[in-house]
Amino acid sequence: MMDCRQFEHLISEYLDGTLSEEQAETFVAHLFSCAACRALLDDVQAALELCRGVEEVEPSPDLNERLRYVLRGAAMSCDAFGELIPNYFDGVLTADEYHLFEAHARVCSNCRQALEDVTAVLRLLSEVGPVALPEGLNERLLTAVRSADRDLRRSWLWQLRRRLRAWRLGWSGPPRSLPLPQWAMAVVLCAATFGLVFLNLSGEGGEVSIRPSIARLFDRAAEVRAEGERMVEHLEQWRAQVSAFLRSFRPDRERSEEKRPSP
Amino acid sequence: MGARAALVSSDAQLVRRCLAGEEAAWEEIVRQYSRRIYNLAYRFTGNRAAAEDLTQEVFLRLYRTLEQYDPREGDLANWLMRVARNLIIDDYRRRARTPTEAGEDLVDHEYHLRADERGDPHVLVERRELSELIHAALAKLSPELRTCVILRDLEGLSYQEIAELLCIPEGTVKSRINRGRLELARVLRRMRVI
Repeated sequence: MMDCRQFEHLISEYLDGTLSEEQAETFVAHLFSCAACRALLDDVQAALELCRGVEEVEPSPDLNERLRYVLRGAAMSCDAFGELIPNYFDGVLTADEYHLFEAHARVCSNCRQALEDVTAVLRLLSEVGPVALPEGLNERLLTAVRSADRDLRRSWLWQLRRRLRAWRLGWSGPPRSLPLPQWAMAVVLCAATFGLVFLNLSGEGGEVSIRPSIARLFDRAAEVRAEGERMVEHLEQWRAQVSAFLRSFRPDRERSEEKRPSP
Repeated sequence: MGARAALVSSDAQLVRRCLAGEEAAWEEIVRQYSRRIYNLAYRFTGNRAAAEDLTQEVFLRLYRTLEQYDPREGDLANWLMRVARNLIIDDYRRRARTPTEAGEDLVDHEYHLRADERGDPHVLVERRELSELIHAALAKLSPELRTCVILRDLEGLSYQEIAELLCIPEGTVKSRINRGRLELARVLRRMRVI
């Protein structure tokens, strides 16, 4: 005699026809005697019939196209992908290269990661802006420039150079690299030579009267030379001022290092 | 026997062409098997988009493992479907362990079902939604039962094949199929499909 639990346990084997003859007889005997088990067997049979009649699901029309795309991406080597990365970011890939590149990135997690890393780095680099100005730097700059300008305008050297520049604009004569004191000396020496020659040729007994003139000329040359040296000294001072001014541009850190006493 | 030899030879040739990187050979494999693999994936996922993603995964796996195919061990179709079943079942087990969102398609179907509960259930059948309803019912089974029922009653595998595929004893397969069928019948009854 079979109970409902045993009947339930054997339903599949009964439907698959794998029960022994004796088991099948007991199964059928219970089937006739129990309405609930009969209903259960009917349900299972109906469910199986439905399963076996299940129609195929229609894939989307572009499934095969997508699969071909994926397989093309898989066929690309990771090295070839890496070589295309710069061109990808420069936007100079051809349409074919672009599709291949995208397909490979889709199927290869390593390359996808590499691409994401490069993208992140480029984004970070693009966000790097200028550092903020140190507080009060603009005011310090303006003060320094005004002070240097005032000193410069007071200097007779600056006035002289300004006139010299105006003169040179009309004549490209002596080389620009010739320093001013030497140039002054050369002018004086030329004038002296000229005077000497001129007096020698035109004057009588010139030797006696000329000597004091020559001596005066040489004295004058020495004065001009001394003046030139003073000008050079003045230039040195001016250069020291400019250097001090430029030092004020250095970042605080460097200044503090300079101030630190040496061990 | 001659036909069988010709099949093996053409399979071997097709695989050789694929391994040589011939795109046309891969297109042939895609054309021949995509539909079957997609349907298998749909049976386990119950969701068209997920089934499509899974089909792509299967083809990628095939691409990477095709060199392991040995024509002497059976025809290409069996080998391909075995690889596909393994991957799809692995994916299903993984998802079953970490349940995420239910298949959208099935949710839609359940909605239709609730909306039509007052009406004649046969109307649903006439709307050719039967396949989707059965998939929706299958989705309600536990993963172990569902896997066995799909492989036996939708894919037509033998008990022995299922036991080998899932690496479980044949007795367990029988028991799970029986329980799965009973459960499926109850679910379909509750859904008024039978």
